[in-house]
Amino acid sequence: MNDEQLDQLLDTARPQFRVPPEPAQLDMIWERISAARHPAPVRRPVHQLPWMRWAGVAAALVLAFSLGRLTTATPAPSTPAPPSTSVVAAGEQPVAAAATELLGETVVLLSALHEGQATELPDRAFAQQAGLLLGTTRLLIDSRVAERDPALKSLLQDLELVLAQLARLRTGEAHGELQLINDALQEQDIVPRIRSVAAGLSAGAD
Amino acid sequence: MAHAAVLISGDRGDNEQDLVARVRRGDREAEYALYQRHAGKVHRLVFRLCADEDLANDLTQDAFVRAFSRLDLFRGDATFGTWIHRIAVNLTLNAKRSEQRRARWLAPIDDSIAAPVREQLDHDLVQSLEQAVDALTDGQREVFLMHTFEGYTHVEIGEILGISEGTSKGRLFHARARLRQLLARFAPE
Repeated sequence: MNDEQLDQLLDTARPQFRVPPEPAQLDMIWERISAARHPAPVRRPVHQLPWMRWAGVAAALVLAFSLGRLTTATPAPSTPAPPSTSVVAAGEQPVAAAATELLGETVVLLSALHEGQATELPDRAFAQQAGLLLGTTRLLIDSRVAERDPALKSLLQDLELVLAQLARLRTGEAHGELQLINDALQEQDIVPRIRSVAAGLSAGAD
Repeated sequence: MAHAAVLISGDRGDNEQDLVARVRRGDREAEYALYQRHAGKVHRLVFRLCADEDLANDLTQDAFVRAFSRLDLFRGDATFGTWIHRIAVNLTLNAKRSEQRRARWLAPIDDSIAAPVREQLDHDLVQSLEQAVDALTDGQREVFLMHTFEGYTHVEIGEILGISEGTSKGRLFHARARLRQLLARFAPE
């Protein structure tokens, strides 16, 4: 085949080869960016999810409640999670508060996953919520609070992977993925580490 | 060169440096203005590179979040357009590599690497082109897709990928040579 023939082939394939989608989704992407960049003023659609209506409870209560529920079903880790060493400077308290809120909402999400996995697969709203949390997680990874607290940073990096997987779940194709995610949650002691880090953040903010 | 800078910056009369400065001061409208200016092209390119709509959405989001949150690292040596393209392409490459690593891990018995790619080619041209493009090296694939399907010049590609114009041309040459081999069965009579 010569160059000219290749060009002919490419011209033939062009109308069907990886045709970019219509840009209608750009507004949706912007909403996600905006939510990740400026999380406080933007109401996330937590309350719209059918299994998460109780998520309107204050974040601390949700966190405590959900941790209790989750840890009863989770085998104790072979080694205790290292304590968080967070000492939150005065100017960083909003970031620490955002981290605490993120951890609370992540636990809510994982609780929903935990409760729903036996009967039904997560829907698209679930993946969207994971996507929102993923954006916040990535911002927090780069924060000074995380830089100062290796346990928080390590936890956020592990959560980043889990949330990225959850954000890409597709209804109807998710059984195998869910198993991998649950395995990762167990192997990395995610929930006990959330408890430890959240406690550290609360203590550091006092 | 001037053409490339204008094209990648997407300049339509507003001063992009001003927008960047306003974003640094926390101006959300400026963020949106920069997003509107570049998102379409970035999303389109990311989709071309990853061929997955949802992944392209995620990666476009990540690229802008990272760009805005790390704007202090942006020194203005290149245009913001070049910078956001570079971030997006790097994120896409990393995502594709992770996906490939994961696929290899999940399917260790898959003999696709050992089998000659040509033998796997589907008779359908578009599917075969997909497979042939996947068989290119990362560098060849990026340059081929950006140049052939998105119309970037070699200067623009060089700016985005951080390579020379000559390297870009070389990669395209080798990509096309490989594609001529892999798609030989479709050669028009």
